[in-house]
Amino acid sequence: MDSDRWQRIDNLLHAALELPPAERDAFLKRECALDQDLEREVRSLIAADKSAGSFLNTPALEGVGYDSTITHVAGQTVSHYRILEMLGAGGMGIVYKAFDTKLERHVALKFLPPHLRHDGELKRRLSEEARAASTLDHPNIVVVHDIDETPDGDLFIAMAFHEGVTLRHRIERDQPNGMPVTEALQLARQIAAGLARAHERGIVHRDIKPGNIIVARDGVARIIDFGLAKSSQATATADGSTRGTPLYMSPEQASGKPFDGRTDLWSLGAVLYEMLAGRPPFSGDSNLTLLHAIIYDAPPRLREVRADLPAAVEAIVARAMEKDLARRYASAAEMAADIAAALDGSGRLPVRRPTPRRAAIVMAAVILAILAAVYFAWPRRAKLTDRDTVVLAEFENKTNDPVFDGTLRQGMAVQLEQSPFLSIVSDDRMQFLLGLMGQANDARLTPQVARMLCERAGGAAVLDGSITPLGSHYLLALRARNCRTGDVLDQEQVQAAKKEDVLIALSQIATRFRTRVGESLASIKQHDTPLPEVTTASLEALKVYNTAWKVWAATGPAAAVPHAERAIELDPQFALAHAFLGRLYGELWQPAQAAESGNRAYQLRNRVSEIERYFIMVPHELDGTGNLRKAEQTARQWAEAYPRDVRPRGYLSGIDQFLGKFDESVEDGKKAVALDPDFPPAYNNLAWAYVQLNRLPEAENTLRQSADRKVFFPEFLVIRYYIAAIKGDRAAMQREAAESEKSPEVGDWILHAESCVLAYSGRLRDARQKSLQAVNAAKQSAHQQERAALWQAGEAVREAFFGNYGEARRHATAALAISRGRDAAYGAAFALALTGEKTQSQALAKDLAKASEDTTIQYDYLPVLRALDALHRGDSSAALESLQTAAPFELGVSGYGTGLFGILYPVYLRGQAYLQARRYAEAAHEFQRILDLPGVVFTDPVGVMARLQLARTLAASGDTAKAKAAYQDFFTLWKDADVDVPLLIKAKAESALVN
Amino acid sequence: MRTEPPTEVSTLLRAWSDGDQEALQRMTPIVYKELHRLAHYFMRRERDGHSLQTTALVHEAYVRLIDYKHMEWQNRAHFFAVSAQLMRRILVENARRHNQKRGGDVRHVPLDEAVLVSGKRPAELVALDDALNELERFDARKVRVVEMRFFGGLELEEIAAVLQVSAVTVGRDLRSAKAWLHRQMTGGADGLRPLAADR
Repeated sequence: MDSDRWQRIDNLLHAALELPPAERDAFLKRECALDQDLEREVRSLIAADKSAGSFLNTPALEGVGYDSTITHVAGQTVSHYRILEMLGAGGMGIVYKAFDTKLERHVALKFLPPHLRHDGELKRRLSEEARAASTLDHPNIVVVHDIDETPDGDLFIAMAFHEGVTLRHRIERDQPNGMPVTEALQLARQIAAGLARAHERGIVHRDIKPGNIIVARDGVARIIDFGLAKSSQATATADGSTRGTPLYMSPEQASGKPFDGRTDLWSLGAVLYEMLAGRPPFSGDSNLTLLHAIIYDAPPRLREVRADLPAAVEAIVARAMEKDLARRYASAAEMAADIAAALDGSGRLPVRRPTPRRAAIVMAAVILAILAAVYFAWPRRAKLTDRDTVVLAEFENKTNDPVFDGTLRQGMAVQLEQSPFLSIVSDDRMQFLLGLMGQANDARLTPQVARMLCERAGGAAVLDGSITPLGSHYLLALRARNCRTGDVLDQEQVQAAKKEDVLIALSQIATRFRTRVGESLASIKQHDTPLPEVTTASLEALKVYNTAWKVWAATGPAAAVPHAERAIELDPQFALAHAFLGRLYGELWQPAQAAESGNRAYQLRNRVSEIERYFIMVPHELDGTGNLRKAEQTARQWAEAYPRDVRPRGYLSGIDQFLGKFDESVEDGKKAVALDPDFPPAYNNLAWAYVQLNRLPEAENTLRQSADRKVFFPEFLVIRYYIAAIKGDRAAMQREAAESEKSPEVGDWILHAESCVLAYSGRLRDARQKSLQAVNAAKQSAHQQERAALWQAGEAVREAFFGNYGEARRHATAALAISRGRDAAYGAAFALALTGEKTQSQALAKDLAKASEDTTIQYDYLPVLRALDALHRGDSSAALESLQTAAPFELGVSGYGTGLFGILYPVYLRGQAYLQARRYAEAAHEFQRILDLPGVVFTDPVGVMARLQLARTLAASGDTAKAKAAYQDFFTLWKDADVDVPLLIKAKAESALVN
Repeated sequence: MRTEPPTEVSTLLRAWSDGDQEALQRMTPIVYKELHRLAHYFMRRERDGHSLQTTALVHEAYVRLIDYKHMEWQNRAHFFAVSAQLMRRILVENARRHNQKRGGDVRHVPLDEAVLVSGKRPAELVALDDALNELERFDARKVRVVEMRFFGGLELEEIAAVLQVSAVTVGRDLRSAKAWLHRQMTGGADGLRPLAADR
């Protein structure tokens, strides 16, 4: 089978399993219409899924969650206990067999999880409870001898040591079958007896499970870990993930309600169930579904699983596992008595049998539970956590007014995005997922599609809603459902008196929903600006804005522009629409318009929600003012306020590179990938950062990772080309270049990169050919004029460096004729300065200087141009002084990426200045710095120049041997160079003089 | 008892978590040796009546080999991931040997090896291993998920962290892998003949 076909089978399998069994047939027939093999395959897997049961559910040896990083090695002494060996590890720490040197007996030492070390309060409470438990003296409870702390502050408990296995182990021996009924009942009776004693003393165990019962060889069962369940709950939140299993948890525990001793009886019932059935009463793929099943579902009937079971025994389990506390056994003693009766009477006994009346009540209770699931919102239990993601489906418009089409969903999205608690699957990501699902990018998000998408996105809930006319009023409804089970998590309704109030009503409903699903009131208070204030009061404008997004999704940025403009026309104060328009222009490589719209949005930034404000401000600093420090600062604030939003991390990993902080870029990039593994720019920035650090295997790995996720980004081709080029892998370079011909996004870019590679080895004639192709390719695309200018500017810079001044001036002029954007203008200015065109260069510099906040211009471009001028005047100290300004930013990779021109020029010129000042060691150091950063330099001609200048520096310093080697290094690089390049001719002449 | 200074394996583990595949290659034999040794050590203890847990075993290897106090939990998950693969190897190798002995010579099976595979029937383990190899040919990630879950005892969230996918994806992977493997090992459910995997 090939993996594509398997992928398809796998997707169909899950889609079918999602459906109620009755609907699967039609679904499969429809989906596999032309492929009977496919249908058969999926059906057979559905059957296998059903019959798989508990297959592979228990780890190969034995599976208990564990969490501890404390360890103690045999032979070590803790207090007066000598540790002998490790017995096991579980959710509540590691247990060792130890020898009590005072009382000369064996004990079991349990070390509680190390994070308790730092929680004095919890530790105090735990030791109090454990101390209370230590007063329990009963043959079915393991005696606690001692509670103490190690010098490191780790809590440990010394208890009686018993030879034996855990009940978990005993159950597994008979799996997949259940244990003999008599043995199971005997064990359960003892556990109930132990619990009875504890409950008498007011001590609730809270975590009765097979792993907490020790069964000795003589059949005596003993309960361990009284009073310790709290520490396992602490474990559950210590690193944010749930450990261990809630398999035996009672419904009241699962729903966060108060509980008493009867909760232990439920758990014992569940344990008894598992002993008899060979599998636990409830199962679920995740803790979430498991908890849900515990609260709402009835377990499979025991006698269906095990026919030989007396009805009396089934009744005992059923009574212990009553979801309604009032119907459960009132005490452990009562349960123990029933078990004892079942044991000696073997079925003859007067155990309550479920009478028909009782059965009816049970049924009614089940129905009530279902109704409660729909209508009853547990006020204190969070239904979602701050790790959950939700998907918004379309609102159903039951009015005849088309103005509500799409508008309500858009409004709800804006409203819910304000919440740092909820994470809404973004429209970008949704499109990507729709593509994976084989749906059109702009497919209608029916609740069904949204639910599939939600599952695909790893989401927890899907939200849909409706608007219904109610006389002259409107009724808005919102419903949140678990996207895996379809169960309703929350329902809200609100009325709006008139059309104009609908957006306000939408805000109210959103706020109520946020409260219900578990967001804290403080958080809501801080991030809840009503919709009309954060978007627009005009429903029409909101509708057109929504259309703009849809058009963007379906056909791309160019077609969306008129819609965004129309939304602005309808409400000129609509900040989000301005921001969106700016984004569209940005995608179209139209920096001037992008900056203008961005600026407009920026001015209106107080009319958006906090999160949108960040989304406006960061691009504004990046593309508008160019203030990288501020951009970084704002993005960091954003990441802190909305830690689950991938966008700030994505921006940060890019900004880090602009600032030359490549290691930080890797960190931020990794975080971005972790936050949203389907967000292409995250991989893009991370892979670039690795390339810049010359950590090529990791860059390749990052790209592979994204390919595994089926995440693609046009720039990946460029990165792969760079990697191949740095490695000197010609075959791969050709492959990537051929691949890129298909890509309208990066075809011209790769052509130019190919040209840069040629030029870097001195093959200028071939390079010019490729550059010409690159420029033409860019010019052909209406939206890539800026890039055409950049390619021209890059060519100007390298021709100037290599001594072809005429060519350099020609390209500089050509670049400026296309665009006077920042980077093209700088390239032209630099090339012109090198060729001695001082006036023109200075005029360009003066223009650049107007962007007073632009970090790159003020701290890199201008100091470089000034230093160049100083060097021409022979004033090396003025050059050095000017370059000092650049020092903090000189490793930065400016707007257009590496390999073209402009990277590390402050370092290069500082080397030049030192050389001019005859400070050879310092000069050599600067040039060497450039050569040490091959991933940053890539094919920037400065790499060629640094080699030659290093040779010149060494020659001037009189180090003949090293100078010769350095020249040789340059000649090796240029072994295939055109013979007529002035730089080469000059270098040959110079090197001949080195003797 | 430490076979290697903890810092060395720690360094390798960190490098591997950062994407250095060579580090994994250097780390694997060390971890394998330790797991193997511990497995046999624990097996002998098993006769005393103490239960053996994969997680406990892997954890013991972890604290022996790793400078764990200075390790991030993501790295730990990576360690558990590789250990899961190695546990698969150890258990399956033992099971295969056990099977051979059963087939060829019924007289004696060394006790510790008999116990080592006592938890699961050896034939089942061998069949599982074969089925996993088959699955590996077209869906390697699901194999990793099964290894980490079944042989390594990792939680879904931990697996998700290693594979950098969501826990839901891991859950889905696990479910289809289980269905596929179960069918493969039982010769198909509902009497349907499974398609040959390479067709």
